[in-house]
Amino acid sequence: MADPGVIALDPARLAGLEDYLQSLSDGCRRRAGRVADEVAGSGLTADHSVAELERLAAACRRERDEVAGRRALLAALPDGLPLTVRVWPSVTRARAAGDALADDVADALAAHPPGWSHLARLLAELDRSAASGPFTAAFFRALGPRRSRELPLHLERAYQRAWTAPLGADGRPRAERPYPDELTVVIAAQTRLAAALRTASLVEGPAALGPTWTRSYTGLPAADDAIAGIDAVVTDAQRREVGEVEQALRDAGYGLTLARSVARSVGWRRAAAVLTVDRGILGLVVAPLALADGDGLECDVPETVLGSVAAAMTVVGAVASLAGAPITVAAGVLSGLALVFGACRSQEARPRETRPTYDPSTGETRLPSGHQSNPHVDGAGVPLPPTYG
Amino acid sequence: MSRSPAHLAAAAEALRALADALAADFADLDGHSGPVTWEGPAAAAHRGRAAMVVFDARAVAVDLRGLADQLDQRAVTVAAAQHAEARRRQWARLEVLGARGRAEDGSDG
Repeated sequence: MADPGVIALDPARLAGLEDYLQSLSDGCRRRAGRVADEVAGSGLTADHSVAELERLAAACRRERDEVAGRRALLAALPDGLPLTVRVWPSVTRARAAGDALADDVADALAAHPPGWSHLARLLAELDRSAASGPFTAAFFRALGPRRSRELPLHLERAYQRAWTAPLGADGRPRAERPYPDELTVVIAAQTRLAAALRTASLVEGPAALGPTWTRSYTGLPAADDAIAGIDAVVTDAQRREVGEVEQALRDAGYGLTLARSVARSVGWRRAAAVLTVDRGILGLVVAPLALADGDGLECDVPETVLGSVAAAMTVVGAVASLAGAPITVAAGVLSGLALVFGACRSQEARPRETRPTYDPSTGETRLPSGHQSNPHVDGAGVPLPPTYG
Repeated sequence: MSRSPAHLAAAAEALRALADALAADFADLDGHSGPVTWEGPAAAAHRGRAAMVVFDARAVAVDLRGLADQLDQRAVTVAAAQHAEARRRQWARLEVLGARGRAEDGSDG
């Protein structure tokens, strides 16, 4: 397949460019005729201008054909290209757009269950503006600390659901796809989300992710005296650990408020952070969140994280400990998050789905695995023994 | 077909309006083809060619304005020539009248 020579694009704008070039070409040709008419009979000659206008019209037409050709090549690509970076003309508009996107994401999360394709499309929009501090800060503020913390996990689950659904979005049985390749999609989405949070944490002033937001995000007590109370009972080793983690997160590019909050949370064993390879916060595992559904299982969160990522280590062989703290690096594997949550959540909290669910935001209907359309399980949803050959 | 000074001036104005519209149309090409729309080697090459097209369009606009100035100049010249012609005719008519008057005076005397 021919290389389209394009690494990112906004399809709608590219179509607009094509139309614009066409209108330029038409305009030049029309004006060439008018110039000739206006000058006729005046004793002057406009041949040069007319020829130049005709040449411009031809050049615009050629560019339009070029763009149309590229568009055809791009349309033939199996995977869509990433969207181009969006530049906001003003802080106010960036914030408004961040708020609006957060509302959309909240709506998507409110759907049961959130659809992967819808979430991925929304996160692609976030990624377009991830370099804008005001946008990302407004997004995470409007989304709220709890949903921000849960979003990576929802992504992973939505993807798993989309993967295990017996029917594709078009209602037909899905073709087999290589799982490890697909897995990188989730990791990439989570990593981009982490990068957006890092940008947002650097915003200062009234629009910043304030102490209240970060404490709620990390699951710490909201009041300062409560923090002081905890701080009084932690050991010197833990206090040292807090400092080291905070410094490491600062080095990784996080803002002071968020870095300090996460470091305290980790040092005081309130939460464990799962990091990306470049030490972005992929997700936080917070004990109260794990038990949010009520009758959850009690578990030592950091121990579980270490255990689950140690299990992942056999797959990847790349787990780095950060200054001995229970911060782990999940590199290129199904991040530790789902494993941890799987360990901390009781099975009763997840009722078996028996009826098809319809997601109005994506128009997808998901069937439970025990549905008769799934040839890989029996009527009760129990997987059939694998057949080879 | 020769044209009146008013026609020539109107044509000059029309050419200026055309030049303005042309410049305005092409002014937005950068915005349409910029990195917000697409990125990559093909996009960069397109932007290079688009910049040349914009430059050429500006040159054409300048050209058209020059043409409009020439039309204005031509209108002034034609108006002056028409004025001189009108004066010449008026003088000629006066000459005729004067000669006729003198002839009448002579016949009387």
